[in-house]
Amino acid sequence: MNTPLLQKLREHLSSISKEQFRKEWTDIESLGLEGPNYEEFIQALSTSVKVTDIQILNVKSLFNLELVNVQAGESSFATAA
Amino acid sequence: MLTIGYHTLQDRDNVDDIENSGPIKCTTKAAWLGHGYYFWDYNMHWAHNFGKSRYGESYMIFEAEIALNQETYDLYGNVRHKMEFKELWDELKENGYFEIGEEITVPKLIEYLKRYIGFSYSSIRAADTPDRESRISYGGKRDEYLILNERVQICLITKKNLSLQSFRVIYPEF
Repeated sequence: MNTPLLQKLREHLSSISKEQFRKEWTDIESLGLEGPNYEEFIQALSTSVKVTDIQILNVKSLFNLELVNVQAGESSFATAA
Repeated sequence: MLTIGYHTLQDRDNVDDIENSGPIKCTTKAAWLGHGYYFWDYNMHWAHNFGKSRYGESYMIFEAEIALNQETYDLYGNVRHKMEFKELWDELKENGYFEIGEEITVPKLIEYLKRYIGFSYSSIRAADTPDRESRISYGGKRDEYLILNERVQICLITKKNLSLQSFRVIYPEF
């Protein structure tokens, strides 16, 4: 598979140093995002889910999030989903 | 294609403010598809389910028309996007300079693409499958089912595909 987005990622990764990548990834880590890992995510996307998988997903529900508004200019008046 | 999205908020007696200003952007650690405006896709049940589980009876739901089009990265309904997303993750894992123990999660990958690669999509759609009651067997001896009531969410990176004119509160009724 070779899509424009994949190509851009490949070109970017091959053009930067380890130090530059670490700087970029530190920036991403600083966001503190705690979503599902890839294995959990791809399991949820599966279209051939088995009963045992669904039971697992009931525990690892991806959408039980508490989304707190912190956007500048909109004050802190709500939590959102 | 147009869909109806439902945006659940804690009720803080500010319905007019929300109707005037529009949906609230999530930029917290819980943003599982990255930063953006989160909507439940079409099925209002999940909006109520989330509201009750988080806020008891003290929640509001807003609806709005959302366009799903070529600017939507559709990890729910587009197989090509699913395949590409896996390859993006593989590529980053293989050729990024990661340290032992670091994990490439879904929102981290999305934010990396947005910040450093050029992610041109204005929204992302994805789903999970928590409802065991809404599945129908394909038959035979295999445990394979058609899933009919996924919880589908849309994360709007920008409001471009959102009809702000249609954004209005539907719960509670005033």
